[in-house]
Amino acid sequence: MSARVSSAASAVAAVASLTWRRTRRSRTLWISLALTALPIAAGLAMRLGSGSLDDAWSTILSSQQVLLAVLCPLYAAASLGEEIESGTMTYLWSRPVPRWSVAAGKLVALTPIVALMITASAAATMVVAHGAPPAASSLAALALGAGVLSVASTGVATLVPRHSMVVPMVYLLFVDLPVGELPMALYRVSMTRHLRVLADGASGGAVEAALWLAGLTAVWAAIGLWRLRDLE
Amino acid sequence: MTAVVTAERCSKWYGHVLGISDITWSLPPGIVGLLGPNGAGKSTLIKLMAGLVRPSRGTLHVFGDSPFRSLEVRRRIGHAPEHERTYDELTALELVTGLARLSGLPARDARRAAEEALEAMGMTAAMHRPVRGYSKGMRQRTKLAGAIVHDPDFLLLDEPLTGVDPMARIDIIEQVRRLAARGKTIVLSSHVLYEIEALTSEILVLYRGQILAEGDVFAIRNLIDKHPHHIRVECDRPRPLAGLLAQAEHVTRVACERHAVEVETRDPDRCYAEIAQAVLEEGIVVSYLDSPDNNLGAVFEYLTRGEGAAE
Repeated sequence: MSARVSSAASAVAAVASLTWRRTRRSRTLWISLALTALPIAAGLAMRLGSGSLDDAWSTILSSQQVLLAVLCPLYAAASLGEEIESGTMTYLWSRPVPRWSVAAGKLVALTPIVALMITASAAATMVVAHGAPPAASSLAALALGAGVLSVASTGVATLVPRHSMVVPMVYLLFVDLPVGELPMALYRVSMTRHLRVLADGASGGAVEAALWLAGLTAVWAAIGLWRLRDLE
Repeated sequence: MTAVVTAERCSKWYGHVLGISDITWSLPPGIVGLLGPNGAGKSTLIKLMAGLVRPSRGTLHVFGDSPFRSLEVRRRIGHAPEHERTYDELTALELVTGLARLSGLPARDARRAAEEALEAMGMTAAMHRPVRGYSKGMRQRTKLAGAIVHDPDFLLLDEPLTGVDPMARIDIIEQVRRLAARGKTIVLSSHVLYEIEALTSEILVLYRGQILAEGDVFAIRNLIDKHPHHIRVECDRPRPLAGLLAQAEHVTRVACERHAVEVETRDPDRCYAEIAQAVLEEGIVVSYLDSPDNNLGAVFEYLTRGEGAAE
């Protein structure tokens, strides 16, 4: 049993290492760095306005929600789907490793990149706009968002590997985000809304948001694992 | 001799597209060439053996277990896929080291194993350069290094000589021979027959997802003896030889050229004996004698011609 766990852990580490080496030499890194700089530029415009600290953070959070909805599919979902579509996944799946470890390795390598970009972008924008960084708990919630939305994007990507980047992006931007604005109970299925609740730092609803987020992440993870097991 | 692969009524479909149909087959140790035109099912059979896809019906076992399910079986398999896409951003050394780690080698041993595998494929000088700048032949060598890096017992090489330059071809063929000499079982596919011919006479001919023939190429030739067999004799006086052979009942066609006779016969053994006799009796000087039919290409053509004619 322990040998099996060790073997899976080393497979995750090997895939993560390969993924990280590829990503740091790819164009995606530069494109996403440019995207994360956009809110900072917007922060300069906000500095000229006269909004309160809460108003500034609320605006920054909205931009970071959109950024998360773009970056998570750009990294996690595209990385998995493109390999399935291009056939390079055969190099990994023909090895003696469980398929889930390939997805896990990619998430281990890519989620910290997205998390770092998002938190750095949010902190820099807040400093530029209001002269003070956001609360550490808010940044932690955004970093968590990078993780859960990467899992969800990967889950969606396994359903449509041919459009592994576009479909999760469309889902997050045009389904998950708008649903989160609905006044009805339907908003509960919106992951970006729960992330906003956590990142807002308000005490009310944080536990409920965390539970919903955990549940929704588990559902997408289960879908992803089920699809990965059968994908050919 | 224990079979490395056993397939029982194995079929594979991709939606409505047929990959392999109702194949029952067992693979003994050694080198076996998988022959067939594009779309014959060669890559599907290799993917089934590599554990990349599952049979839609029937079973296919490698070392007694399902390669799709069993990690232990996949640990003993090395697979070089047909496509040439790799991780272009990585160097060959990074790629093969990563594959070695995925095959269960500890990190400290993986790099050394990768260097050795790349060296065996003649890639030492280029292994620190990104794959992006590699030629097709170098990509093939890198793929093969990735397939052998963990010292597998069973190698699956899908079109390993496609697009490879003559020098690389010689190197790869030599490497495959060396691996076979070390007791590895190797299945390699090709739709170009002379590529296989250079490595083995044991073949499995696939056509439209089914096994058309298997075994030694000469044994297969015996199976198809109902088809005419060609013999070409290059000599100083072809006319008297052609005249003698034309009288034989088993000869179906004789073509005479300036310095050669080409005979089509239904009984090659008798024909060879009669050629020898005629040459001795007439004092003909033979400079070259060959049967183009001994070439795998001719065998494959015979086998598929029957199928095509049935359309």
